[in-house]
Amino acid sequence: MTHFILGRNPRLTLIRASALIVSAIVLFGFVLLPVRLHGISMLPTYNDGGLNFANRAAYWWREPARGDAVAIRMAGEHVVYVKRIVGLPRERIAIIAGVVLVNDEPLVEPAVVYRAPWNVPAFTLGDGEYFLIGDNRAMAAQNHDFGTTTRARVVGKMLF
Amino acid sequence: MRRAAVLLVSLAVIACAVYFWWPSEERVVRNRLRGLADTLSIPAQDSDVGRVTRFAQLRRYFADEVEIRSGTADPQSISRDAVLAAIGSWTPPPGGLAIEFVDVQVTMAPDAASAKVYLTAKISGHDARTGEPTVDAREAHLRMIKRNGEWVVASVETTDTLERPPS
Repeated sequence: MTHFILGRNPRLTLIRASALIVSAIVLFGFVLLPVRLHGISMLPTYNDGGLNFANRAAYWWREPARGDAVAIRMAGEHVVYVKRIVGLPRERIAIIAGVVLVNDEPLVEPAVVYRAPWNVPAFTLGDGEYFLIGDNRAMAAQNHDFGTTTRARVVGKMLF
Repeated sequence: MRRAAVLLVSLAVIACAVYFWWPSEERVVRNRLRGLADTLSIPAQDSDVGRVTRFAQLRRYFADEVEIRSGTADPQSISRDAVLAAIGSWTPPPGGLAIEFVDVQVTMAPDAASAKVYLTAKISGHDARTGEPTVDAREAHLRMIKRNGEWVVASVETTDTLERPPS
């Protein structure tokens, strides 16, 4: 039985098992945050109940970019928002009849299929501020959590 | 060698036991919050007796006057009875709901008579129309004070994770 569990070379098996455990701890403790998606605000990109990962390493060497679907932490990382970045620091943002304007230019958003006529008056993002919205713009604006957040709250980019 | 290993494991077990069970006010506050979340949760098969019992228990979790602030609105000071009345007047969704406080960060005051708490309140329930499971969450800052030997909530401030632009 012991031979069956540990193989022909128990020392090598233990080293492999230890390496696997350490890799899993590093990977899921510091790099990938598992995210179970709830809600419909990111349809059709992410379905309710789907599993994904927030990749913390994505922003170790670069800043979040427009179009990135990101995880936003609350008091911690046990519960996160998943939204898409549409506005970057110091940009002027407005939404007119469902179309997002960035510095007065309409934003092309391939992930958005249908747009309800949302309207948000123009405002300017501060340093380190990002503007985020979910992909499901068919929802009424008042039922959809969107808005500005700071760089410190961005946990990572969604893996897929 | 074997004796050293046994000693090391024993020390590790003792250290864990001390870490997890050593009495501290911070741990008392955390347990208190766990109790509050359980009391605020509504079971799927709720009864009148259960509701009355929960309300009686909820009184013990709030100070006589509770300061409430939502988002950027001005804080309001309301009595414990008004807080309980507001909770009581709310109609819970069918199937009940579970409230859980996660990512709880407790900062004790130097005199250990009050504590600042930052947490995420996670609310799991079911959609009233479709019956599908739903999850909602809200960040909150609480101030807790010790009154007659028990930790009670003296102020609650909810924060918007995503700040809506001015409309």
